[in-house]
Amino acid sequence: MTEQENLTAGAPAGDQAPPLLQARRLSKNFGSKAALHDVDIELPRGRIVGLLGPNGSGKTTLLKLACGLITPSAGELRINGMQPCVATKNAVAYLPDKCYLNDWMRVQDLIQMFGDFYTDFDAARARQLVQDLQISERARLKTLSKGNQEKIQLILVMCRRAELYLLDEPIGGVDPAAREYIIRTILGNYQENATVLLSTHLIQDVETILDDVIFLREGAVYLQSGVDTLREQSGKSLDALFREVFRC
Amino acid sequence: MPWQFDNQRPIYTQLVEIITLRIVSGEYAPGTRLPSVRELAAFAAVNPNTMQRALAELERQGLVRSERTSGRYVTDDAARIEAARRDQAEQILNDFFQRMAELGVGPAQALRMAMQKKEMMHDD
Amino acid sequence: MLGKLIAYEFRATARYFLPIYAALLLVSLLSGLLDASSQYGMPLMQAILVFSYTLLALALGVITLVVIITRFYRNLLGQEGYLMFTLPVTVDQNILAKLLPAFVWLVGSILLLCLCMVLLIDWQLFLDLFDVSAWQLQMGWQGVLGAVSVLLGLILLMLAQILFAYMCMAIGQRFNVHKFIASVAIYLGLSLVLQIGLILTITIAGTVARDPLAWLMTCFLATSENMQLILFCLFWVGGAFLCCLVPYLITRMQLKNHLNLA
Repeated sequence: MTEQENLTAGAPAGDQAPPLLQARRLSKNFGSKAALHDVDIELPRGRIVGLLGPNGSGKTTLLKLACGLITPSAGELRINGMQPCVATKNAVAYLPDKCYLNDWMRVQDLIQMFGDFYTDFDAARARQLVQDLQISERARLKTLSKGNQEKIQLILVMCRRAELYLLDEPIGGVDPAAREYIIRTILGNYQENATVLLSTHLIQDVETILDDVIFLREGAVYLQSGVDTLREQSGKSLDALFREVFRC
Repeated sequence: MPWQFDNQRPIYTQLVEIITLRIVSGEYAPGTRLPSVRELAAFAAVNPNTMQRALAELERQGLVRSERTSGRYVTDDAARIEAARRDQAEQILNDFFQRMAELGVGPAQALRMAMQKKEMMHDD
Repeated sequence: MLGKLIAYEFRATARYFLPIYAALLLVSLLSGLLDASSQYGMPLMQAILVFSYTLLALALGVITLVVIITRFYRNLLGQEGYLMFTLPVTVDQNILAKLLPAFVWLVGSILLLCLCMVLLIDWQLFLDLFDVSAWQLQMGWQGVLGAVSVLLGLILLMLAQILFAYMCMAIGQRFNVHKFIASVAIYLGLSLVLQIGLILTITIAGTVARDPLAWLMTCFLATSENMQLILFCLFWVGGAFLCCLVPYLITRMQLKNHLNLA
């Protein structure tokens, strides 16, 4: 299968193609507080990357910068070589850690809306996934349980054929069964030309699926590495390493 | 159902072990076609990149071979599989003696206990 | 993309306006009909209808105002902002997609109230409106220019009012807490500043700048009447346009560079 060959080949050939995400000396201040400081990151395609750090370490700020929701105070962040703009928004799918949809809308209306605004949206697949969860398409979002609301939001984001998926705490605050569903959905959505950047502080649940990890500490990159490499070098699980690094 | 992993060791190493076991035990019979990387990764609930790395390692070890167009196959080299079985058995034996030693049971006594156990098992 | 946003916006707001539009029309029609067929009397019914009309008209006023404000505030600056600002649309498109439907509903509500008044008071007048012959006036191009300019200016001023509110909300959202209160404070504060500015300008015009202005006035009156009309229209429309442009640009800048979603 050529798919296997693609995976073997790893990152696409070419210093020609710009990296999917590149942050250079990226800084963001809110008033006097430096949320991010001098961050240098490069994300290749076809990876599942964990953005780990305690609360307040700048994870959400980094994701918002990548979406174009906020602008850098210094340095730059580029997606496919471009600064965040309409073109990059087409390539980026963002899942915030809160309910960001109009909860008066019905599930079918939300699917319709995503299909209207995003050309890469797979409405059929979204409907299938909703059906698998035994949620009625006619249900209004506000009538669903919190766990189901989060799953719907995840489905909508994951059914886009985007190049960069930014998931902010996708498994925080949900029960273990829902967590498993979310992780399975993320895995099942894997594409060789796309990358998932997911931020979390619940490492145990996700570390099995991560390719690479970035530790953010007080707004700066503490380390960026392949996960199995870290395990080999330290003989510890990612969770244990994290606790060590961020011990209070 | 997802396979179980020890997060302290590289996942791809553990995948190599698990798949080797399945080949040696015959669950993945010699010469048969393995599921695609994506399917295997989905069964195991791991990252396809990690699974890919594990399969590449298995190829390197000769337990698996890949055909350009049709995917990956378990080797039909019986000798190779036998060698893998012996390696796994060796490892388990090493493990056994080491853990008995941790209990304070020396190799000779460990062997005696094993023989006794074997007799009891035959009686069933 | 702008079209889609606007369609989405209308779909989200229609549910507030259409029912009350229908109710108002119904009440006005009924009242007008009763009026026309006055042989049946029914003064009580009339009173009820007129009372309902007043209530509904008031309600419409409030609803229009509330919807215009809250659509911008909730959909762009609240949680839904996470969706709207990550959609593949520009900030301009997001602003226009709120402004244009708001304007349509505002004008629609005004026109509807006028229509209802006509239906209530003088049914005959309503029918007369359709008598085209009464519309034939000797206007000439000056009349047309004047009418169009006045209309354009009024439209722009209405848009400017909406944009001013948007601008205050766009500035207010920069605060981390009490965003709405901040927006209201900014609205009141800026309105006050503008009032004071206006008074100051008039005072200065009446005293210090009296002579230069008098000179300008003489130049103005020296030109032909047509030229005076053209100049006046230009200043009127131009001024109104500036009243739109300034808040629009400020709103845009706040949302583009200083977006501060909760």
